[in-house]
Amino acid sequence: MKEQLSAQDLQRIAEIGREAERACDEASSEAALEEVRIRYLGRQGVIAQAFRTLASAPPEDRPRLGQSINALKAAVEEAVQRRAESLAAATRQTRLADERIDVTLPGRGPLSGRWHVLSRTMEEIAEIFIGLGFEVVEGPEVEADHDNFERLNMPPYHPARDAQDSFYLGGGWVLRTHTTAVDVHVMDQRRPPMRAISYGHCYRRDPVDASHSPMFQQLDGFMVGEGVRFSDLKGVLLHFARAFFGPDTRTRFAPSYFPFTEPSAEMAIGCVICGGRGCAVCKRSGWLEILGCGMFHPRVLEMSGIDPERYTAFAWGMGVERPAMLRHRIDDIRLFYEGDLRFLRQV
Amino acid sequence: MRVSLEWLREYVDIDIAPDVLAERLAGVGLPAEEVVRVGEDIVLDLEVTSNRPDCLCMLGIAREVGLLLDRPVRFPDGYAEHPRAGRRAGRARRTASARREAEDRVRVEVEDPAGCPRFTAVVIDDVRIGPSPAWMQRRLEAAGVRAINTVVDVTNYVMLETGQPMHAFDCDRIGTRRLLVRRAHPGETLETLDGLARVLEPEMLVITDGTKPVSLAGIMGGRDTEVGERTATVLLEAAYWHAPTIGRTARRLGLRTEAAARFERGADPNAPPAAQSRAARLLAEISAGRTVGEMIDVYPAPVRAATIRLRPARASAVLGTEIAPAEMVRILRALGCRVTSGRTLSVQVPTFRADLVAEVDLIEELARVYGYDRVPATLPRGDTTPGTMAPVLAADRTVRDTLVRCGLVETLTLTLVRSGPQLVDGDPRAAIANPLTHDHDALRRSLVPGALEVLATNAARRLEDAHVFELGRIFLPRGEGGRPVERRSLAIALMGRWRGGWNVPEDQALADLHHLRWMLDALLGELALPVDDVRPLSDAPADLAGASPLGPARWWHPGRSADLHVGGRAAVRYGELHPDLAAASKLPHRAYVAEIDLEALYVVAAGRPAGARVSDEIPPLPAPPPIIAARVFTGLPRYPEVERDLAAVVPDTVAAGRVEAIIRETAGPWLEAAELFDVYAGPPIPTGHRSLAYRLRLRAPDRTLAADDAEEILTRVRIALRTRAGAELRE
Repeated sequence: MKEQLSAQDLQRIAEIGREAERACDEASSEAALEEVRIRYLGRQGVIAQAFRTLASAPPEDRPRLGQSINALKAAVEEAVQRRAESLAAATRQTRLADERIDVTLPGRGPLSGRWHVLSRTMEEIAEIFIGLGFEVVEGPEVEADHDNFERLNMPPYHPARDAQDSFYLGGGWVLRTHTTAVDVHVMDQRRPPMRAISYGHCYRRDPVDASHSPMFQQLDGFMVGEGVRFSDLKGVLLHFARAFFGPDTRTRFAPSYFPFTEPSAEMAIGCVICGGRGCAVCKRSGWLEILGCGMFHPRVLEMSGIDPERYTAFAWGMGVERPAMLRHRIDDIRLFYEGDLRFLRQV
Repeated sequence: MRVSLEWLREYVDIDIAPDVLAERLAGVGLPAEEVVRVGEDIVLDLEVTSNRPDCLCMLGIAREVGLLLDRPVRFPDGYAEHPRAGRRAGRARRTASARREAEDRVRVEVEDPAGCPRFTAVVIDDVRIGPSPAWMQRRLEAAGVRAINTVVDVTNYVMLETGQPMHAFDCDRIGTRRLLVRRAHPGETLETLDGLARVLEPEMLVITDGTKPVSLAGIMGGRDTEVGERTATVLLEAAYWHAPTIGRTARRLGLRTEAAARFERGADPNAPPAAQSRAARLLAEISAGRTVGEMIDVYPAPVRAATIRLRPARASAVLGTEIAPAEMVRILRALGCRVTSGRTLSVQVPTFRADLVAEVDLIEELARVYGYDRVPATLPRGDTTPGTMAPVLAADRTVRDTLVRCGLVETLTLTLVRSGPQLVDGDPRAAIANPLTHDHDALRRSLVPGALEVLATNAARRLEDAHVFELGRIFLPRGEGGRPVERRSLAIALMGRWRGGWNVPEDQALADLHHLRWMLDALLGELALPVDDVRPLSDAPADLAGASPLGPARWWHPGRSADLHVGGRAAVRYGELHPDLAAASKLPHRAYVAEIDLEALYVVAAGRPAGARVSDEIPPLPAPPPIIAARVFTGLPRYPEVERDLAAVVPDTVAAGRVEAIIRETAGPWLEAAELFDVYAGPPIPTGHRSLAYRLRLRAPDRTLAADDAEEILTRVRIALRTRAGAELRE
């Protein structure tokens, strides 16, 4: 009779467990699950009542019965917990699904700014020469005629001045035709060895067309020291050409004439458009003239109080628009100064 | 210089293809602009630099080709090769009677031997004027010279062949039978061959008939003595003129002839006799005239060939490559020099190479002929120098970076502007004495007009959103003949939407005054410069014309603009562009413009005295400190902050800046930030008032602030706002 009773009780506990698990699984919301939890695990719940029946059970059955009810409680708690997690996961899932947005919509934000392509180009070239030990300086745009020309071995009415037809302001002031004038100021204030570059606005009386602007940017540099050679000029400029135009760039030096250098040269690079095969940009020659250069004329050094027997110097000057045009395939110099944002944002 | 290969082959054998020849010539400094086929012939259009007048003739080019191909040059019939000074003596001993025969016809005097070191004349009789032979015409045309008649064509032919310009006078039209070379008298006139009456100046050299000018020396002959169909006797002139005088005269008169181009670059003083004999030979050959007697040669001080000392070791050292002394001698001789060997070479340069005056000129010749491409590329040896950037340029970089981060696009506009009235009209601008166009006859004195033009240009192209800046120089004029003051300046101009994208409400996307101010604060913050004061332009006294580097107040909307004072001066002027100007520029939106006296900001940032400059300096050594000092880390806060909100209702006449200043002054050192977060007008705020709400962040460096501490500060601030700004405090 006792055994039977006990077996009945155990069977009843197992049944409660099965019912509770089923109720948990059937709870379709967190609220429903809470009801289930209260029904079984609440203070007045089924399991609490079961514990209370322990007192009326025969003493020898109590431990086994107590163990069973405890196991039941743990099982129900676990079932509730499991179901709670799965319901929460489902809820999160739903919320995330609801939060879906069309990720293919375009971005939105402030318009971005940009350096002018010529400022950027000048800075980039300056960095190349800083790496070679050059200091970067600047000078005035209005120069004395004397500093712009005579100090560079171009007396008044020198035929070479024809190529640099200049704007005058009266009083002997001229808008600098080249930043080479800055070299003169540096040499006046430094003792060799020195290496410097400068860049900025220059002016020539050229009518405006696709390749001429009365105002343009030039970048000039020079180096003075003992034993500075023409071959060093070639090496430094070759390094520049490769750093700027790419490691495979070829250079060619041909004789030229500038009153302030002797020997004078022009440096060309293999055409970056056609790779040297010949195209409209390089006029079928495969070469693009990039800059003028040479060894400073002894008279230029003398005028700065530098002994040309002891020291030699090389110098070069280049328009900045041309390398920028070649690199970015810009076909009209006027674009640089018009301020069309479609251009400025592209390059 | 247009060079016909058919003609060139008369003087030197050429057995390489024309394009190979062009390539080789480019390698010695004579690049071809183009190579064109003209009938059977090929013409190279060579670029000749202005130091090489000797290459402005066929024989000069032949000499360079001979040098390249190691071939001899054949001189033409009658052309005595470069008679040196010594040979003149022999010529002078020739029959005196022959010379007299010519001198009977015409007498030559040179009053100014400095201007005309040499003058030769030959009289030609039995002149036959008519077309020159086809071969001569063809060659002239290949060279780009129009054929005219026998005599003129021969003078041109000789010039193209030898480089010596010649002029033919109709001898019978020189009534005085006399030529006098002198400087022009003031106000003297001459009708030149082109039919223009030229007013001469005292520096200009003329050939006169003893009373009036008959030719503009070295440049162009006179109309009165021109050779024409009825000419029977011709006087051929070949002279050597002072190069700078010819250059100046040609420029003064705007008369750039083939003759002037050769003389101003420096002709050969010893070429005239050779040219005369060649011309006489050609005239005889084509039966166009017969030489009478001897050449008249006025050459009081013969020019001697210069001798230059050349150290082969120096040449190799300067070039950075070893050229064997024997090779040097070969090159120099091929160039026409006489070379005496030794440890140093003694080099006598030909008189047709006036450009060779010093050792370095010879070094260039050696390098040129040896080949620049054979010189290796090396890197400099010896003492090196640190690579640096001038502080002012480094500061520019920071400014550009900051503004670009604010969303601005950098522009560059021409510094050349109109001096006349403009839409945006600044103070007088520095004038250019010789402008190309009226649009570019002065230098800008503000960056603002250029920035507005950029907005207008873009608006006209239907780009309505433009946010730009320019960093550059402005030029403040300083009286007649004075050097304009160059000043670093900066302008910002905003128009239209600064945010792109869909569904952004207009009012949150369009640039406005506060957006502009945010950029200015970003800039000043980057330069670590505090704003001393914000002064609305409506409160400002009238502009002091010309005194300020900032534009006039009338460019701005009077109620929506201000000056920012930094370091004790108005260094920034900003606000909404005056609506009249916006309308005149056809701008589709309100525009916002700032002008920044960058020079002043840099001077303050660098701690220089007022009035100092930082631009254009060659920095002293050792390098000066940067303009923008490195920022100093002040540590992270160690105690928590207390935040309190405060809303002050003030009359509209009380500026927010004033309210904020009172808060900062009275809150004490524990105030870390006072951030305006709400501006409200409308019920229940009384009309004529608005509510300004600030969030105050308080923090003590050494302890956690208690509620009482915060309350004490707030009370102080409230009382001050009430008493000093008439504020009502909202809770």
